[in-house]
Amino acid sequence: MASGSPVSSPSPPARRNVHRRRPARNTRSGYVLLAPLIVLILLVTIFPAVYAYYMSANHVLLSNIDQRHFVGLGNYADELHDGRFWQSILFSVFFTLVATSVEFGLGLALALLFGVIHRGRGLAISFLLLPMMVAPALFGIMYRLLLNDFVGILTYYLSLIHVSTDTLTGTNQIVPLVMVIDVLQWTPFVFIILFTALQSVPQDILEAARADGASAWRTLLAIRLPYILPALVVVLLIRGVDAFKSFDMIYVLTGGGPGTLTTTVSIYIYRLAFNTGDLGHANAAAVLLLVLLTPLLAVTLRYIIRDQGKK
Amino acid sequence: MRRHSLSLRVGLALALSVLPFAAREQALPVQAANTVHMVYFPGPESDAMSQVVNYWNQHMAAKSGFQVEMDLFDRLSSFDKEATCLAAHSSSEDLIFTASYEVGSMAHYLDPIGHGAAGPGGNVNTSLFIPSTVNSLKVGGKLYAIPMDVSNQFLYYRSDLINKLLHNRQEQQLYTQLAAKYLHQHLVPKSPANWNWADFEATSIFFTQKYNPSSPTQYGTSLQLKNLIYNIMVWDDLLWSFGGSWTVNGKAALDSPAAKQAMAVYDTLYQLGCTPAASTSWEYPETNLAFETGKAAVVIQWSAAYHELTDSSKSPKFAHMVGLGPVPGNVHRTHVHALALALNTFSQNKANAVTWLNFLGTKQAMDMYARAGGIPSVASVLSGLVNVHPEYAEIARDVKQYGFAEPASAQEPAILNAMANDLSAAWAGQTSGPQALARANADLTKLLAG
Repeated sequence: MASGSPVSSPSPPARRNVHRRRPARNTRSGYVLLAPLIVLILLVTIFPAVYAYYMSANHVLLSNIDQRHFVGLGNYADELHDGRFWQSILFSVFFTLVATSVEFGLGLALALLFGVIHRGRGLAISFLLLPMMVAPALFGIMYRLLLNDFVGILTYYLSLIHVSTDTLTGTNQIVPLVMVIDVLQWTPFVFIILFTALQSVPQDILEAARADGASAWRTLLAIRLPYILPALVVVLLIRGVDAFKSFDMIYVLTGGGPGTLTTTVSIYIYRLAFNTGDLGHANAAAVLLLVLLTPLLAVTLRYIIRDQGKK
Repeated sequence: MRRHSLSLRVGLALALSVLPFAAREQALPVQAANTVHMVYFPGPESDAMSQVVNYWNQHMAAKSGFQVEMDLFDRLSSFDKEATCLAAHSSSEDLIFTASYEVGSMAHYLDPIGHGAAGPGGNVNTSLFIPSTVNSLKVGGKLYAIPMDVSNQFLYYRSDLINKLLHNRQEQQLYTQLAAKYLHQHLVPKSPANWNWADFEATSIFFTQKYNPSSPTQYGTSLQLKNLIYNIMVWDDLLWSFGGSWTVNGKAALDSPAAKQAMAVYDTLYQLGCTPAASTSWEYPETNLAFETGKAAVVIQWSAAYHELTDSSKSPKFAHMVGLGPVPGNVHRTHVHALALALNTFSQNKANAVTWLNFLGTKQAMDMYARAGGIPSVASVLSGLVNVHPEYAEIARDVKQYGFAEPASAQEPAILNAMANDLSAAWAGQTSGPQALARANADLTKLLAG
């Protein structure tokens, strides 16, 4: 066999060709497998959203959905001038700010507490998480019975220490009451997210801080909280959005009343759509709500994406 | 290559797997031919109807060629879910559960029935039912549903306490003193059958411990003040009894003197504390609880409550002390509505659905329904069961003598909801009675204009 033979051994270019073929084939297969899910998402999100925009520009009633006429921005103008729309927005904002803040504070406190408790922690966490396993509507029904003036268990025990439930369920107290019930149900959610995040803080950093003489409070402020900041932001975002669109528990407990004292924007839109049957105005209100929330969501999401990008 | 074709096969299989769900609508006609699907109200109504359905399926399904299936949505949003199905032109339900106050908004999606109606609905026979309840289901002169349960309200009172009051001079003197002090009227106790609203107020004050420490009940009454359309139907009793109504000559009339008087009664009782503060969030169940636990002496409550309040397993202490009277007023008036069944215009099984409706329109079916706890809108059945259900005689009498129905229209549910929003704000102290009535009147004017 002479050297310089024209027959050559297997060469890298052949292997590179294989690599170039594989990604294209895998990508195509991926799209094919994803296709049913993409179709489903388009059907249940994109199509309803587009249809909502369309309905919001028409006068259309649930009682006769086939008959509609174009009103342009008329429904939007009506909603923007309707004090009840703004009242429901204000209540939702107030409810969100207060409930989310309290849930955050309590959840963080519990997460820190459970970080130092070891005995029986697992069992305690299991019990702590129970409220969030209950459907919000059922939670509302439970409290409707627990706080009933005449047959409620809580009412009975409070009466033994001479606390009248008129002070709990009267008109002046109903707003704090629904917030308390929301806090009772969703603080465990905040707790478990923050507890898990706190557990992920590297121990060597904490030990180094302790070795340098940092106090527990200083360690918390300078190391632990900054480290779990993405989790804090995410949990605030999730709870904030959830609290803002609260419906089930409040609707079952108060129907949005007394009067309209506890009418959230979700209850307002629901009543407009299904009780009044005015789909045009209901969709306009929903679109307006999206417009109002979009800047906040955009800022938050940008922060999260940027933070992940840095990591 | 083999992996590629495998991926394609798997993807194709997944895509095809969703097709049976889309094809379900096409599969339904085969199923529908043998089954009539009927939406019904979950609760005592469906418990009673299940007896009739079971009887049909066991004894008559084979001969008729179809069986009946009752579909239950949730009680709170049953009509909302039905409205959505109808708006989507769904044929999955052949018979739609409706009511006098909802039929107007659903009429566009229903087939007219009864004498003179075109199509299979024209074969429905409604001669058995109380005419006023049948009329309450007409929209634009056309009948759209057959009545099932008839609902009205009564005055329920603790018969032991009222009897004692009527025979005890000391209590009568205190009653008169309290009426003079808080109502600025000279009133003496009288039989509940003859009460007007001042008597109701005076009795409520008398049985409130805040004013009468020796009262056996903590509160005189338990009002239903929740933001809910059914509570507006109760309030309408006051409005109608004072001579008012929603409209006069087609124009909104909720700011009339009669409406202001009606609001004033609720305002007086709430401000005086004759009803618990929490009653701003209360409705039917809480009012029952107030009576069953002996915390309230007199209540205005739906006719369906009678069998619960007199059931010793649910109300062991006071089940045998329940008195029944007409809703108070110088003129006794009671809201009446009928729960009903209507024919879905998109149904693909109308002939069988009509056959089932005609069976329900027989004395046999309605007797079965009544014995199982329903309150059918059939006078002969109601009077025939007086031994078992003594309240049925009162229902038949009150519906005929004192009953009224709010004007039926496509806007009726919207009107009721607007009134619930506006008036409950006054009941909760968010606004004054006159302001709430003015707002309700403005909303009604807007809704009447379409």
